[in-house]
Amino acid sequence: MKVMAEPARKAPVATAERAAVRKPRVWRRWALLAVALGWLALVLTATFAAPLIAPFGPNEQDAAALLQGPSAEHLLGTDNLGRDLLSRLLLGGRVTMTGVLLATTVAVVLGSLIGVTAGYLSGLVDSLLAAVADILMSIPVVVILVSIAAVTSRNVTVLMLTVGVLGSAGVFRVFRAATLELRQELFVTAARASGLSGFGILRRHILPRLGALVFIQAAVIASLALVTQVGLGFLNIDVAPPAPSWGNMVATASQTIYASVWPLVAPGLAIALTVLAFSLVGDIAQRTRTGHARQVGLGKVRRRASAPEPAKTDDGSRVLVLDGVSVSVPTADGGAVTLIDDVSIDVRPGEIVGLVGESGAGKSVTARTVLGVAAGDARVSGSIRYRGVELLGADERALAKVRGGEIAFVGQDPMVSLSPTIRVGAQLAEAVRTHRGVGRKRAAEIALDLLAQVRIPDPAAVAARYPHEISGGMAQRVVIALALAGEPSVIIADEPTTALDVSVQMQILDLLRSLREERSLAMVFVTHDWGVVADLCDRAVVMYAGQVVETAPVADLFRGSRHPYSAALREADPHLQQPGTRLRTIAGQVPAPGSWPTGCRFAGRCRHAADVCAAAPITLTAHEPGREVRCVRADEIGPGSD
Amino acid sequence: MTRFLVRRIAVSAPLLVMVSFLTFVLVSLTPGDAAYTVLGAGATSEQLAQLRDQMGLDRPLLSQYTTWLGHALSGDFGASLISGQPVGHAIGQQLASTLSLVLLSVLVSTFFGVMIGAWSAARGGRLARLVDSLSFAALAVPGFLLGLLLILVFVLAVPVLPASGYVPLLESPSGWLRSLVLPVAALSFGGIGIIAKQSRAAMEDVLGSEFVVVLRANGFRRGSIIYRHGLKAAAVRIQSVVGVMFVGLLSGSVLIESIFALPGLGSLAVQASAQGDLPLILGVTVVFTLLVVAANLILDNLFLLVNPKVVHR
Repeated sequence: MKVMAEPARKAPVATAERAAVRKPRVWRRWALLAVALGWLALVLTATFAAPLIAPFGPNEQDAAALLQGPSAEHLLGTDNLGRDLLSRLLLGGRVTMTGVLLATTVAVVLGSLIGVTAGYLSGLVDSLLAAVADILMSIPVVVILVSIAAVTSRNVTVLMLTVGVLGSAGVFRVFRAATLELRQELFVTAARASGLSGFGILRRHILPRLGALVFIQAAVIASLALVTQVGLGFLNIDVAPPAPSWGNMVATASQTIYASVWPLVAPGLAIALTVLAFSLVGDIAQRTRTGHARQVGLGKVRRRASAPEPAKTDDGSRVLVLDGVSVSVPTADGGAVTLIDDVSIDVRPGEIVGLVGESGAGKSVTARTVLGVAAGDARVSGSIRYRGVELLGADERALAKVRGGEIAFVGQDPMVSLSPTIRVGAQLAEAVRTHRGVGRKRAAEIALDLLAQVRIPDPAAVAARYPHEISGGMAQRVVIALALAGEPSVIIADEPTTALDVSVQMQILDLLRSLREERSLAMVFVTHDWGVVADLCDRAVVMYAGQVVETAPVADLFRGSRHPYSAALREADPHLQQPGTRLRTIAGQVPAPGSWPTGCRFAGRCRHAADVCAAAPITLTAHEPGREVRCVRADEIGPGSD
Repeated sequence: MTRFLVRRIAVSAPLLVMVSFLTFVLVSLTPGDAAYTVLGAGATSEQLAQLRDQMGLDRPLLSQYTTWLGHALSGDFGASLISGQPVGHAIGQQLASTLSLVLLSVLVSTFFGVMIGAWSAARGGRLARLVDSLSFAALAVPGFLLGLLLILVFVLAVPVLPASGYVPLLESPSGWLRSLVLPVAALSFGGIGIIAKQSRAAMEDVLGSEFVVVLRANGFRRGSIIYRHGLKAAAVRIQSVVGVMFVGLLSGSVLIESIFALPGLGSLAVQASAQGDLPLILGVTVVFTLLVVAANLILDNLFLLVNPKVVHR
């Protein structure tokens, strides 16, 4: 077995999304569970009470009724020897279900006990037991059972015991993994540190949390054991004829299948429904335990409502316009949570716009929404125009031309931004071919050229490597090269330096600055670092709780913030702190999406807050040319002191 | 990579020894031993004793096993107690049919399972959930029931395919294929379910990861993202299930061969089991285990090629 060091980190958007995507129709799941459990209860009761309720003996033959369909006397018909199928089904079910219960009990008891022990002890014992489980799982069960049947002359108890022992390997794996996971959790570490004995920890903290697993695994093993058991019956090696079992009933029926299909129906349905019921119970229990997120697929952006006709006209002075863009994701109860709210941003050709704010402000959602790659089930409204062309509501094909070719994207963490299994050069070449329509050979040349343009010293060597073989700084250069492959005029960069070392950050910023100068690229640069804003950006858009709270040229903003949040954020900039004084922070937290107040969203943390702030939604108003502020008291408070 | 292979073989050797030894022990526990099987109920006790001595049956079990193992390692699995035919020869005659059935089923299950899983993960929504339910049901219905159902439909109702028998590939490629359509379909159904479920889960994770956002945002084609970048990244997780499925398909092949009257190893095992032909059972069991080992080795190499980022445990 191998595991791939697959990145666990996800985009910030994904976290907000995850909380909101539980399926609402839980009742359907419970109804299904009730039906499945009901069927199993019926089967178990009927088969174990079979001697009492079966109308005929299992081998009573009715020579006058061979291979008959259902009748008043024989409710399910008769087989080729005139035996009553209902009686045989009930009595045969006893053999089958007893075997299933035996195998399931053995597998679950053995597998869970040894699994918990191995997971808890770990080390050598664990490795040995895991190796044994691997071996058991490589054994083709039916073949072994066939030889055992030969040796024990059809001892069904021994056969099903064997099924249980072999099946315990799978149960073992599940319990071992679960115990390992629990062991590493904090509270177990804490319990150990506080001197609780090993057994005490097992009993008090680990075992109670594995109860649900016992149930799930029992259902899974039961369905497998049933399939195996009826398989043995079908091969006629479970019980000696003429005694019935579900499996040998199918075998008997299959011999007369050309004369009548009917004898096959009852045992066939009984088997299929019972296996299905066991699997359903296991599956539903599993889903309830882990909580299954709604599957949203890849790349469908729905438009909630048609945007109002834009008041501003698009002349050549703006390359990218976001106009009143709102994004929401559906919640479990059928509602929706707004992630960003009425965001408007203009980007002029060659301009770098900084998108600033704390985590949770909606910066990343805004950036990703431009390219239609936010959450899969996000609903977007408003208008996003590139050179006057509406992108919102455009289909994937139209968007594909814009993506990379006109507007490109650089992500937060370069180590997870590249396709992990394709060589760097091949990824770049694919991007080049997609956008420029050149041949393979030419694309490979251009790819090397792009690597040189992002100042990678030995392009050929890097092109031949896989992403996990290069450093973070190198990987971010490759991502930038990838973004340049389609010769875009805008780059959306979502905190492209956050995950990098400080010295590498500076190199990447230098690279981006010079690329802007060489190619007159416009950029939307998401960051929470004022140093980067000052260093690189022409204009800053400050976001808070899904809204734009202030827009201003960077020079003006650094001369004095007009929104109390921008001011507070500036004061909290680690670069500005005086040695020996307390680090200035903003008290409180950004309110989460869905819990935004009606009035000013910052009021709860603002030292200038007054009654008027909470009364009504605050609008974004122009204060001086190029400067907009969302604060009713902006004029009273005056420019922030810097 | 070499170290990885060495490791794999190091795990496989105990598997082979364990399976063959266990079967050997089981076989020795049989009431009425091999001499009895050969000579039948009418044999005198002198005859039995003589044959036991000749066959080495009165030696300690471990010594009998090492002798058998020594011969087996040189390719000699002994002779059938019933027909006297060398076991290796009997297995060789039946191997082609089983290999055709199982290998075709592996290919069919993997291909359709991966495609269905990837498609449903990429598409999402209601139709994808329907596919989920179907692959769930496919997992639940035993292959031999499905086989009987297929016979009802394609042999009895619409007679387009043969119900039974095996045509060797070299004799008639089209006949070979026709003889295998129904058995492979019956055996693959559950396999498709397993692979589709796992591929779907693996692809869901991969498609939700950041690199997919970056590729999409930079204009990579949807098909390339899903079927090139996505599948390659999900391959390792899918591979581990292909190995498990292979073991399941081998088990299932015994039943399927019985339904469609295919002259394969499974039929041989069932027949040997009914006749108490112990050397033959032992031989078939070892060959089945060898097939599992070989399949895992091949899969490992195949996926090492596909996915460079394999961390060895």
